Amino acid sequence: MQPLVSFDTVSKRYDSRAVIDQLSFSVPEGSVTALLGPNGAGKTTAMRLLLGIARGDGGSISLLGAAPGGGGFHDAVRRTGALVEEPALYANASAESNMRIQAASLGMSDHDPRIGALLGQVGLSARASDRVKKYSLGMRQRLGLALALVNVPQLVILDEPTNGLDPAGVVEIRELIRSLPAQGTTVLVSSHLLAEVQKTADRAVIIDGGRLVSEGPIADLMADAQQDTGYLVRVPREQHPAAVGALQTAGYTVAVEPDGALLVSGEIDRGARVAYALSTAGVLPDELRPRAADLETAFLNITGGNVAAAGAAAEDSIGVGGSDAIGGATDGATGTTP
Amino acid sequence: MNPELLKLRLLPMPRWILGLSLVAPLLVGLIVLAVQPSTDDAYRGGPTTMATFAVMIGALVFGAWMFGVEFGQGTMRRTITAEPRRGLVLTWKLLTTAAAAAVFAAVAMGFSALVAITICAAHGVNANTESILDLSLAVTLQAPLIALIAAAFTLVFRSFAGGLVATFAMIFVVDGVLRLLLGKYGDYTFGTSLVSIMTIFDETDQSAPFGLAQTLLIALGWIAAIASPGAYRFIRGDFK
Repeated sequence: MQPLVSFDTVSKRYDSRAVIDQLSFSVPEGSVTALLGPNGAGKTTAMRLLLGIARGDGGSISLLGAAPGGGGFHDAVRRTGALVEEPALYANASAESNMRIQAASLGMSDHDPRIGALLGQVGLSARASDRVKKYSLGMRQRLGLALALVNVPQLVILDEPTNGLDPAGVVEIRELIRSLPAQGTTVLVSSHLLAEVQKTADRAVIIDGGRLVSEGPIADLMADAQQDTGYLVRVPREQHPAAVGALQTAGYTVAVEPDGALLVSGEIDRGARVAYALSTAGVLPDELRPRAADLETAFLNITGGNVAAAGAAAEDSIGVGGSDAIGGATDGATGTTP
Repeated sequence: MNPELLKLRLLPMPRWILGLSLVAPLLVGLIVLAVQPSTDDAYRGGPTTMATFAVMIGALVFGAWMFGVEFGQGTMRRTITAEPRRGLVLTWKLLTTAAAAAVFAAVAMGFSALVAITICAAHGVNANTESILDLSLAVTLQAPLIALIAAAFTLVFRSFAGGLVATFAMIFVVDGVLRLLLGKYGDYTFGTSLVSIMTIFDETDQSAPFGLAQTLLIALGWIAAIASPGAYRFIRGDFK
């Protein structure tokens, strides 16, 4: 199937700094593809290049089969909805007026019934007549999303669409995004909320320093990460020293999670090996379970455990990378088994 | 409807500018009626002079706003994402600026003429409608030029405030400096072309330095020269 978006060794420099560096990836039709990367990875620049807002310095880009500046690009952009960076809104106009202007800009009637329907879909019907400057960040974000969808685009590009939304809003927008492929709209979305992306997207493109790091189905990325997640163990706090000592003696690496649980990693093929190691010190765990891999783990693994960069990515999600490692064998030695 | 025209209808600034340009001559008319000055010129010229001033300032603000509102709120990005043919966007915006400024001037001057004629009739003074019509025509021709020069500066600075300040500086400072430095070669400044338009339409005054065609050519030349670098950057450059 022909991808709706393709980047082929694309580069973009600002002054002497390469923001996008030989980047190649594609977005298949009908997918929800997440564009992920640490702050400054080049996600927003890639989206701006795709829409023709910024011009590339090398390589080729295809948007719905058209190259920026080339024949058919005008039509391709008009079949693409976009919410890039913060929503671009006329602050002194109402949400409805903003929608009418957007519809007219796209060659639609400014009284198209879809305007009211979309405002309802993003939960702004009751405030549609209010000036946008009175809106909260979340409401502006909702309006930005409605603007991006007003012409039933073939592709929609969303940059941090859940910014500023409350938890209920995040769920609503997630459901809306997930419903788009069924309506014929392919989605390219970037987000810092990796747990959210995991629930929304089916593919991920991970970039860092403007370069492609990994690309593929999210299930595959997580399967790779699953191999390196370890086990979570809860023991009474007074037994921590004994438990840690026993686990280290067995050759495992032990870290203390922020909630006091022990994260045991190493070559562990089943949890019984951990239980056995604990039993040698007379420690009976209250809880012992494999820590499930998530997209965040995969992201950190793929970006080389770049915790500093990923810290921002993880700030609204669970605290991977916040463990306080307390040592242990790292040479892959395993404990004896019962 | 063309999106640029729809913006004029749906965004508040054009309404404010037009509203103030209508209220200002009406207020002057009411004051003249209340004060009842002894000179007939106050009845004939009070509302139209006020409208002329309001239209000049209004056209300047409107021209800067046409581009400044988009750059200031980041909506230019949205505009060129909906219509990526940037040359077309720029052309529509400049045409809309000129046309809307002319319509706005015609409406404001027409209304001020009505106010002047009404208060003249109420006070038994000859309104001299021919003179009022000449003034209205001159202002209707000046307004688009002022709006376009403000739009051109805003295009260069990508800022509403920058466009306003630069236009004021051009009319009140740069023109004077150019007159001083290059006056011996002829006065081809933008400000002089505006004055020339007024003089051409005032049939009692024969001292217009240029004919109408030449005057318009000078003014449009200035607009083109100032707009060119901004237009080039608009069409070829990146948008934030």
